[in-house]
Amino acid sequence: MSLPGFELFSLYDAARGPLFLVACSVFILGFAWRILRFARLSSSIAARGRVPGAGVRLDAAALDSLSLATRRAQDRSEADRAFLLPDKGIVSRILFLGRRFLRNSNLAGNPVMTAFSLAFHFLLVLVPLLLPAHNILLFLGLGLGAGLSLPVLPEPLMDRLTLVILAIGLFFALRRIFLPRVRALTTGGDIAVLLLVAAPFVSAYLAYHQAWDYHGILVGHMLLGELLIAAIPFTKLGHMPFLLFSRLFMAGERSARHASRRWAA
Amino acid sequence: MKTTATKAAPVNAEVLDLVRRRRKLVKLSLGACAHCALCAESCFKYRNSGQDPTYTPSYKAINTIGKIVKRRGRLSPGEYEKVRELAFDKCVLCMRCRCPVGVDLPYLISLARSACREVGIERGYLEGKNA
Repeated sequence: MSLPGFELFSLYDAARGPLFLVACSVFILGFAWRILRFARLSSSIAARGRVPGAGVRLDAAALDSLSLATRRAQDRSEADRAFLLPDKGIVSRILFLGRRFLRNSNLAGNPVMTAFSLAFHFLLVLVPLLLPAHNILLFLGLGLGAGLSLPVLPEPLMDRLTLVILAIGLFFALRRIFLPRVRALTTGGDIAVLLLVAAPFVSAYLAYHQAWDYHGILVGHMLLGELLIAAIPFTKLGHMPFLLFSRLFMAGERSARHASRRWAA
Repeated sequence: MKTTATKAAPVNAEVLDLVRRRRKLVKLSLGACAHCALCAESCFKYRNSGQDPTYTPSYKAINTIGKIVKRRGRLSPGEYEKVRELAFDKCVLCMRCRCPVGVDLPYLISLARSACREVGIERGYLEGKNA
């Protein structure tokens, strides 16, 4: 016996409408909270004019020595500067800088991990966004307007890309299990977030191929996807959108701000 | 300082103060850490130790200041001894560890050293056990 009104507001309807909006709201608010918290905890030396914690006021020359341009110029050895003189030719200078960039990046030390990691993270965002079915739900289901849509890619291609995501996810899992340095850092939470990321893609693959209980898997897929979106700001998954902020504003030899920013006292 | 005791020591007021002031920062930093271990190969101590995973910079940060903050300074002398080994013997604070997400690992390890000093633990220069 079904409850009165159950057909009018099924779990499917809830998942494609209000629950999706709730998940997105939790994601946006949670992410904004993390950015504010991060901004409060870090501060610019240049803005404050002193080294936090030390209580020492820096003069203009000391502040200049911490600037990005000055540090980069200091980093260049005499040999580098000689090589970058205009008489070396533009092509060899570009190749020199390219080699230097590669040598200092993760691509040189861990080419497989870097390539897989980049592919995984880009696909993780692009495949759901450019899927025709998601666009229909987003623009028609939420009443945002007929005829509007993000660019979409064909579903058979998306099906294969889903398998690529799952294969790279398996690579990450195996890395966690078999590489001692990664295993030493791995917690139950790391395995849980890996499963949480994989779950919507596994269910999407099964739903696309209409395996088993199509309706049940579809609703499960929507709920798992919404759980994933809402969990991002509050779990290790946050490293993905948070990367821009952590890389830009945390001090470090290789950060974009090049040690020009320090933690607040 | 060599000690084998395992009973939890009374909490040092200075350590408690350090934990209170840096708690959010440490939690935020270690929360951003994706446990990817890509920092390992930027550590020359890791590379020259036969790739011992305990030399991985993020392992050192998590198991020193991460542990101190999580337990609010309530570590036994034996546990502080392990922190000393990681923060003083297994790291020289050369500042060269590279984190893909930008966690300031040397700063975290330097905080662990500060906490150790507050409880009277320093590098054991004369004990011949520096790694």
